[in-house]
Amino acid sequence: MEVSRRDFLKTLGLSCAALMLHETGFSHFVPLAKARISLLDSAAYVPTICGMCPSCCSITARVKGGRVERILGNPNGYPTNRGRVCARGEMGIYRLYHPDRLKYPLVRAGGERGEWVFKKAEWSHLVQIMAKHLREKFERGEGPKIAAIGGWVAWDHYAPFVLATLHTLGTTNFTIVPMTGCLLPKTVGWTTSIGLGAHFQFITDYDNVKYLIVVKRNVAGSLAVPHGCRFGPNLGKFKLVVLDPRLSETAAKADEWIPIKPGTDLAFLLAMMNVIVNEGLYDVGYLARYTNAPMLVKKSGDPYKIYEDKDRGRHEYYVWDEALGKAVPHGAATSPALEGVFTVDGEEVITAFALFKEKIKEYTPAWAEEITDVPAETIERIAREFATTRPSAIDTGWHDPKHVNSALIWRAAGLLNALVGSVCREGGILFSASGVEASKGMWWKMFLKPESDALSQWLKSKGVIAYPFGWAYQAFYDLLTGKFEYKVNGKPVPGKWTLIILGANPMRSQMDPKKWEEAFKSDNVEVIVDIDIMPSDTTPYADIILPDCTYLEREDFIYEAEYVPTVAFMSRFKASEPLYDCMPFEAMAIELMKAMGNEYYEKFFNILGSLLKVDPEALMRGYESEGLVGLKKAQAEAYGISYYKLMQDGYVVVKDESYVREENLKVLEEGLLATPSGRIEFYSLILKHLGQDPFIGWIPPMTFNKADPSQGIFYLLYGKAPTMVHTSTGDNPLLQRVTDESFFKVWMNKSTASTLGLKDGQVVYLESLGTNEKIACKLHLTNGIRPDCVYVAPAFGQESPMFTFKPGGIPFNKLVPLQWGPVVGGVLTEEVLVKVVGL
Amino acid sequence: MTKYGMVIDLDKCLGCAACVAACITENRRQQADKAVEQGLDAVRSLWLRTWAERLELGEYPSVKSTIMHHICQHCEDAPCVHVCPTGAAFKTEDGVILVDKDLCIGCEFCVSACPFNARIMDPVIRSIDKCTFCYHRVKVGKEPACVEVCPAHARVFGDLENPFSEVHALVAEGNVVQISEEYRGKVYYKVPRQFSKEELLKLIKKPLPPPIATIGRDWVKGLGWVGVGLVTAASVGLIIINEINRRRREMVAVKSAKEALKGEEKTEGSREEKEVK
Repeated sequence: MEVSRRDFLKTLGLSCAALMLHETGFSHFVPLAKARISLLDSAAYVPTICGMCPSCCSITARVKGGRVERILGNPNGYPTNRGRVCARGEMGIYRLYHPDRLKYPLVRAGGERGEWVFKKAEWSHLVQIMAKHLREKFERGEGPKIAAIGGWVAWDHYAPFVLATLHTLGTTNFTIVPMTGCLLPKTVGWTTSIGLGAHFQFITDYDNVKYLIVVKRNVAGSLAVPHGCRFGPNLGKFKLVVLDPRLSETAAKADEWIPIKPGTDLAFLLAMMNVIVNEGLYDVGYLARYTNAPMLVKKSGDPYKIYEDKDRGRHEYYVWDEALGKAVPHGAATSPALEGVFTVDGEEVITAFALFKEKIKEYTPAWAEEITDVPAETIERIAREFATTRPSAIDTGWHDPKHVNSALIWRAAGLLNALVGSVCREGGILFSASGVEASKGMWWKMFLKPESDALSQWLKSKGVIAYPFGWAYQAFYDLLTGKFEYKVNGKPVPGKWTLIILGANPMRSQMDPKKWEEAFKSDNVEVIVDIDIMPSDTTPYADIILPDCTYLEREDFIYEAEYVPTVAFMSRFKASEPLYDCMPFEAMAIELMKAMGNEYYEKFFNILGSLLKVDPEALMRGYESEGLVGLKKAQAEAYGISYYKLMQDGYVVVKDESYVREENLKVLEEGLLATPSGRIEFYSLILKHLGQDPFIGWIPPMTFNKADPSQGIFYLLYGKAPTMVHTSTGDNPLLQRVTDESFFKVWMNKSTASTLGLKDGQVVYLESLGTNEKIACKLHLTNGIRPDCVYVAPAFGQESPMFTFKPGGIPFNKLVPLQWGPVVGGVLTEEVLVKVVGL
Repeated sequence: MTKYGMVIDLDKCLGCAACVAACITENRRQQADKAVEQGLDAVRSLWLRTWAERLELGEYPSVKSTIMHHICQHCEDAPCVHVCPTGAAFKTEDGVILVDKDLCIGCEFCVSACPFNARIMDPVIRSIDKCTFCYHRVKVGKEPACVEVCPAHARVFGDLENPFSEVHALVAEGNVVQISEEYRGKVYYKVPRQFSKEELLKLIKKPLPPPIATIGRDWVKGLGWVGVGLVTAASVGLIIINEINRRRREMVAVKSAKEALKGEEKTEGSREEKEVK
């Protein structure tokens, strides 16, 4: 391929200009010339991290003539997404160039919250006002009444800066929507079994699994690419069984699609356990060594003996060693007995596994058939296949706050994986690099909210069992309206609420928007600051709107690669200069702290330094000399990686997959899981501590057997369209274009529709029996859904007056009332029935 | 002889539309940007070179689903090439059906001739727009954008004639069907595990108009030349005949004139004789 003289001179000129600009210390401009410039097409290839969904894929932006032309997978980021991107990633371009973007700061100029009456404001002026407000609030002792609601962006992109800001201001009253709104029930469920369970902490080993059961998840359709790029190409190499009331994209790939009754997956899994345990198909050695199945339990139900093992930082217990013929600590046993009744020191004790076996005795396949609508023979057969086709796994799942029994489903998944010996082993469930670290460091202990936290106080008042995991956004309705009295050290906290909304859209993505409207308009709320890139449905409720930069315009700090079993660092490098008068949140936070005063500024950097594991002085110096780039350089130095290599490649591998797989085995061998005992817990010490049954049991969903299609009453299902992510992509014009029409409609079973006299494409009313909202929408008929269910894609229904590209579709969040689950406080998004009536 | 083709593995395809999106950002950016400028309706009707269609077979609960990929089939006997009056529609040596923008007069015969809806008259570029197998990328050793992006590796591209290529192996394996066999199309669909070949074909194969005879454009061209020849011959013939006739008339005219003159001389001579006496 020839290079024209013109191209060569152009490139030379560009490089010189860029170098000049850099030397003049134009600190916020990272010369694109230093990124890889291709002589082939004279485009610059800038490595960055996708910001369209929480997967944070490693990508490259192709930039030509100052314009971002394309988003491609970053080949250097292979460990994360194997050089691939999805439709949302591709159309990040139309987030950057979206005509409706917030272009400058806005401040309310009249009207009420909810009305779009704003005027343009200056950053410096607003920063001063906010600094004064927050400082005075803190000094008046009203710090705890500074609250924040973040979207996943606040966690995935900004967490250390958010936490540092809020802790400096003396408040922990912060949550992100994806906690009780998404992963927390799943995470806590898995954690009671295997010690961890957040999205980024583990992954199914799709490359090696031979028999995979996917439950309550649409891995192919919602497409987190780090998972999808492994699941997809390996299709056909493993038997795939999918439990889903709808023929989702994943179910369409299955060898067997099981159209299970919604919310009854737990019964299916319990019956599987029943078969595997009773037929002795479990991995005896694995259970004996890596789980607390052999733990000796007294007649009272408490562990026989339990003490602090200071070496491991875990609780050690006793087992019956068959080799020695006596009770010894598990770590000292050669041959722990899985079953048996023994007499130790005159006391009768039994193994946890024997109790567990007794507990699940009633959960036969015949019992499960009644509940799930799945034939008993099918359940039996699948249980046997699962246990004997190794390595096998129950998939990690992803999002599940859907039912009151959600947490238990994932506890069951952890135990089933343990029964077949697949946790931390090849072909099973692998901990990511951060999962390994989280395990060793007992991560959830740091995750618990203190007693002074408003959200956990609210959960406790509602009788939620795991209330110390106080990340429930639902609490804000009662808190902001003043319905719940928030106390610290027994005294009510004075003052009104200042609410910061960061990359969240409660009016469209959080359940029961009427309640949110009430909360936002409440007199108990003195200021609402909304930080966003688009004039979302929530922005009209703000007093101050601050425009963030899109991910393509930001120099974000250095992150550890998540989700995958590789130790690596990645970062964002600017592919475009900010198009408008917007500011990346990190800079906003720092400038705010600076304006509040030295004391706050230093405190902020101290906290930031401990979160990023970098000397606070170095961070401060870095920021002061080169802005966010300087901050990154300080990080790179502290981590021992080359900043320039990171800037070229976007991704630096420190330890590869084979290392992390080894670490998985070590965590298992050394009893360093993040459970209290350090082992997989058939007898959950966490649940016991919370006053619950330590094993597992059946709880039906709230909507169990309440649907009646002949009366037009259905279970409501939801799930992502593959081209959308939450509500943040609903108004992306090109993503709308590539979205199948059916996702803007409500889906119903063809024969059910026929008996109700409803036709494909006609308009119907979708009425929630939970909120009484009635929504007019179109009907899409399909054979791929249970007769008693209807399905809606939840990314749509945007109403913002400032949106040019309103997608239509159905505003899912209007259909679900504000609810909270009994175990973790999940939002119970499928514990709702709907009525469908033809117009 | 290189013959580029594509195998779309419907067993692996997850239905994520990354391929559809990649094609737009790689090849129809201008049109997309323009549509965004014009608003919602323009965006909703933006034409796509390749798109995905969800298909279902069977009744609940014995129902299965797959994704049909619509894309130019790059037929060896392409009807679009056959009907194009100017030669703007052509096939490269390595089998890729392209459009020479400079020769396209926008008559849209090819748009009607293509049974796969793979072509459109595009007002932004003022020419026919269609899938080019990302020829601009293939020529520099890259893969088509849709192939490169797919998270499931469902689209495979390469030289069908090369016995070592993945596309060749997939076709040879035999578990593929086509919708453009009659035109010797070069896009194949690998059958998903849940379907038989017959079931898949029932869903995706439409009856096609018969292919135009293989003389094709040459035949039309030949006819054209014959026509030109006839016209030329006729013109030349007419000219010659005209000339012959003209000369003949001239000769006749000259003869008559000479005779007329002789007659006058005789008459005038006798007068002269009379006058001299």
